[in-house]
Amino acid sequence: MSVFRRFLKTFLDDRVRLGLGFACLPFTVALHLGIPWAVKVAIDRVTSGGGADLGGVVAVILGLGLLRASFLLTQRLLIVGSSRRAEAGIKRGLFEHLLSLDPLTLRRFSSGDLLNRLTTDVENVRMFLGPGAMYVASSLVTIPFALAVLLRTHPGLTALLLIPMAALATAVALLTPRMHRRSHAVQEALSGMSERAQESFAAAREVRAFGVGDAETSDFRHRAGEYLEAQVSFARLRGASDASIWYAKDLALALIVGVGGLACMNGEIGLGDYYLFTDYVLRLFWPLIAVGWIIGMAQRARASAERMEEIYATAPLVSSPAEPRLPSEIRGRVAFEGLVYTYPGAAGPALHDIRLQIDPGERIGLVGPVGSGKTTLLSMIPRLVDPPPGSVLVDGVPVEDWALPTLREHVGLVPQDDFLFSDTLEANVAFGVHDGGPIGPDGEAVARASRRACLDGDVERFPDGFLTRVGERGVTLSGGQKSRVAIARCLMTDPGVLLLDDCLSSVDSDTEARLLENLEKASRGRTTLFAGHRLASVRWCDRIVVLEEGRITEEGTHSELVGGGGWYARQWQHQKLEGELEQW
Amino acid sequence: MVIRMDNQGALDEEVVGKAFDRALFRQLWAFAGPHRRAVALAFSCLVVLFGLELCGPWIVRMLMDGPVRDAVSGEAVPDTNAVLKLALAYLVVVTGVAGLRLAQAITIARAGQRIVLDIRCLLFQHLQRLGVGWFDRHASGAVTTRVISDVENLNDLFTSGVIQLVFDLVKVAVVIGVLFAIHAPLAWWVLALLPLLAAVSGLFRWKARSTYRQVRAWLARCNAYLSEAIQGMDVVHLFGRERAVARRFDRRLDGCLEANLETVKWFGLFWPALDLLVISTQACVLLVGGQAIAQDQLSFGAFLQFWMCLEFLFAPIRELGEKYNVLQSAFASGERIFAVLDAEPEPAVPAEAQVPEIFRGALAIEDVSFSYDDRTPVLENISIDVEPGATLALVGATGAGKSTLVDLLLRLRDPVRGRILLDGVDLRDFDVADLRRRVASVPQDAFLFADTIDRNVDFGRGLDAAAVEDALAAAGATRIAARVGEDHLTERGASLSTGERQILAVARALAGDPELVILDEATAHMDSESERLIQDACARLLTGRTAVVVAHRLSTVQNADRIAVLHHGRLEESGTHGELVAANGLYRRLVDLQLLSD
Repeated sequence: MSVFRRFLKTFLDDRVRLGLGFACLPFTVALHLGIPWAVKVAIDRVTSGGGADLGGVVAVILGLGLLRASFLLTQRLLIVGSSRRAEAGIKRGLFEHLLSLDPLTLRRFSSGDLLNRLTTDVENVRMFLGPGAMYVASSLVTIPFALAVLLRTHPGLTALLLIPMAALATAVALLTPRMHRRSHAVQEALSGMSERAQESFAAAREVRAFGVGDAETSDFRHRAGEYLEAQVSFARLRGASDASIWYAKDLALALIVGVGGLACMNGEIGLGDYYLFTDYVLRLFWPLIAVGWIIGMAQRARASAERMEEIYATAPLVSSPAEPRLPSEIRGRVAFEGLVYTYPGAAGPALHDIRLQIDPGERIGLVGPVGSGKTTLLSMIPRLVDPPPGSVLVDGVPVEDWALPTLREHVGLVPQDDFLFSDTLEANVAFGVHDGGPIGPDGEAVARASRRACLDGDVERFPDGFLTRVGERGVTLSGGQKSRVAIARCLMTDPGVLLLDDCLSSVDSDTEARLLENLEKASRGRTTLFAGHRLASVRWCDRIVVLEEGRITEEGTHSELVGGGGWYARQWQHQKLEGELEQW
Repeated sequence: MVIRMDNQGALDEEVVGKAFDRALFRQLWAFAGPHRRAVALAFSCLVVLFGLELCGPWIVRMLMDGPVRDAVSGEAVPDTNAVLKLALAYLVVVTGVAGLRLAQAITIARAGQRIVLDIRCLLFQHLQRLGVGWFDRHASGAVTTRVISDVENLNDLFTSGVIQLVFDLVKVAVVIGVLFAIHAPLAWWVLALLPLLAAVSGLFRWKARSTYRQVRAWLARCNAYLSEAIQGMDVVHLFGRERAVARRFDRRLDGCLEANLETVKWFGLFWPALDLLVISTQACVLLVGGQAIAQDQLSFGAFLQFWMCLEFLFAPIRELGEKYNVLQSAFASGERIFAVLDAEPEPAVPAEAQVPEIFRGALAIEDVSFSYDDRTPVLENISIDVEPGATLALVGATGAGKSTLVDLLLRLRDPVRGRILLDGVDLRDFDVADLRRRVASVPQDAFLFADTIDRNVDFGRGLDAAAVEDALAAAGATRIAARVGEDHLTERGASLSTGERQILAVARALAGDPELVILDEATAHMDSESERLIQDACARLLTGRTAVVVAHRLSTVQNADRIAVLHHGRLEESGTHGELVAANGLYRRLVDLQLLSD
């Protein structure tokens, strides 16, 4: 049970409701068993010639029914309700832990896997600890109570009835995990079949070019056949399980017909007692199934709890120091002191001996071939990836000694992959400073940041202006629009150190010129690192640094580098020709 | 119908359609035709099963009104044998019931799955006949949903939906008949109370459906935000917005909780309410029945039988609403499936297929124009001839129309105007299968399946093992094949390098011994060793065959017999390398740029 400890605690946060709910339980059970008893009394009266006036008994039955309904309602509302609250609490706790993990650590889990842990696994644990516990508790009261009544009525028959009942609970407990396994096999076959279908549709072009549609169909038919087999084998087990559950109950009834019939005939029990036996067998039936079901479910809930605990056991690689140091003055000086960095598990370093001093307010252009380490270099400054201690400094203090929130408040990065939330444009631009909901007085700031990012013209053309929703990951926007939203979002936080990671690659050339002009203005007075692909876009920088295979190979102003005869000069020629072709 | 994306990006359609559509039902039911014996068998199992179930209470009645009454009233000596005979009869009946229940469950599951398999394969086969244009308009994820989930929904229609619904109605009618046969005055009371029970059950289902919809909507929102936050964790950390994001997730969790609590409330209300109604009905039966017993109008055995039969009434009524949901979503799925089945196959099959008189591999592109949307021209008046055995290199900047021309040559699309002739026959007049055998394509990044190398090369064409072996050898893929062995490649061949994938694509093309080769050179940067291997493989593929190559390498164009330079959908220049360089036009610029590759 120890894996459940954390989750049990969350359940117990709601202990008043939970306690009250469980307190209702004995009453519900007593009333549940009391009603057939009243019927038995009525039957005994009419069959023993005690008169036909059942008004009183029937009124009692209706009263008990009403009471039972109210207790059942209260019990369900309290227990199931608080299990739902606990579910939200568990999800909240898990999510908060995820938020504390740095991106590199988080990538150890796939996003689909995390989603599974926060949905299916949470549900498994909730079912086990919430409704599961309720059914077990209810069964644990019902079964002895009903058996006690029956034992007093006819011990022999009751003892015999225990055989099919025990068989029933055992069958359910044994079959439940097996059914989980077969249903898992069904899921596997299903995903095999869907992957095959998806593959064939994704390769639509090749399949047609080679004219092998029929072969695809017959291969798919094979997968679909495997799925059918898995389904049928699951259905066989489920059918067997259902049939045996019902059979166990029916066998109990057959015993009552034989042994109970004889007892009735011999006057050992009355007709009302006979009725009570048939009725209680039905009422024992469900609790027994529930007990078997919960036992069978325990294993799965346990595995789920373990998977959730795995998230808690994952510690972040990047965290705020216990005793942060603050620079005497925040001005925006950035320094790389012989930075060498190797990604965990990589064969060689991504960055070699980077030495670079950037003065406050200086603007650096960062260029180089794809994969030369520009993105890695930039992500070291706000500690998205942690550099070796002492190798990256901001205002003389190593980044790992800064309080993380202060560092990130101070450093703004526009990442290459401009991730947007499926929210309004306004909320996306204000993401760094606003908590959602109506923007209010920040509206002017949003408009200003958008103007700087050359987004204002686009916003005017959208039907809902700033309130336009951008869709999942911003799908309704063009690549260039997304980049500009990301730029506006960063400018909105007014960072002292501005890092732009190749954010112009999908912006069209007309907008690019205007945007560069705006960025030039916006970056005045801020330390800026501008990583770019097109060399024309970094011409305005105070200094340009060329990165090749993780090393700084050239450094200087545009005109110095063009005359230098290195990568920059070659690339400049190449891009000039490209420009000519575009104008052809 | 409202369509929205759920967290996994799969289409999840909210069902608000009809629960029964006769025309659609007739169309769907036709699929059950080949399996009607199994369906009929399952149905007859249900009928016999129900008949046997009704025997149970009847045996109890015979027990009570026979040996028990006789002994208790002192009319006869206790007859142990009679009781045991009845118990044995009961045992036989319930054993039969259990067997039938098992048989019914398996028969119907198998029949349902078989029907669904037929529909699924038919749908898949139809999809294979639709052109690439159709797939451009439909995301492969959504198409997969049609073949998988929508077809699965139909299963319920055949298994638990229609049969069960019809049978439940029959059951209710028969049980009411039995109740009347036992004791009509008592049955009238039940009949009077039954509509109330059905109404409460129906009302609840209606309510439950709308609250469930709320729960699902909130859950989708919650999960969508969760997956979004996980994917955008970089941004969240960069802006130090962990708290704000946690609060936003919290709001969605609260919404979800609220909706869940609403459902808990309705369920919490429903079961006790229905229970109370059942108890009231029973109380009524007890009150009236008790009087009848006291007045000797009803025997105790008959009363007990009546009481036990009541349960057969309550169960179907409780589940009535469930069936409605099943039918509704099955019909919505059926509609979507037929929408796909109604799409016209492409490319159109010629009325009378023509076969060239001589096979030489002569290719003629005559005044071909193409547009995807009838407005923006993508290709305009392109005319090029390629001699048998010659190689034509297509060059041009991105967006010049090279890939579209390749699609036309492969007859993945048809020209809007003009025609393409292979050995004097219009591509549109070829038997499609015949054309596919003659023309092979090597795309830039070949799609490899998660299967063995041999099967990827054979690609479902059923070639000789020797032909596959030879093709692998000729393409220089023996080393790759030896390394991978009989293992399956990972998804899309991700375990291989780009160069290796291209070599396998060449082997795939070689294996079919085509007449015309359409080759799209890879632009990706490769080390010189793989570069050399690919060049060798391509050279072997092109030897003795007519070829059209979308070229990105200078060496390829230099070796080509002819070069066609496309620019904005037009044929800008054509000629040999020497001629075009001398012309000092667009080609010259492209060469200076090493044909635009880095």
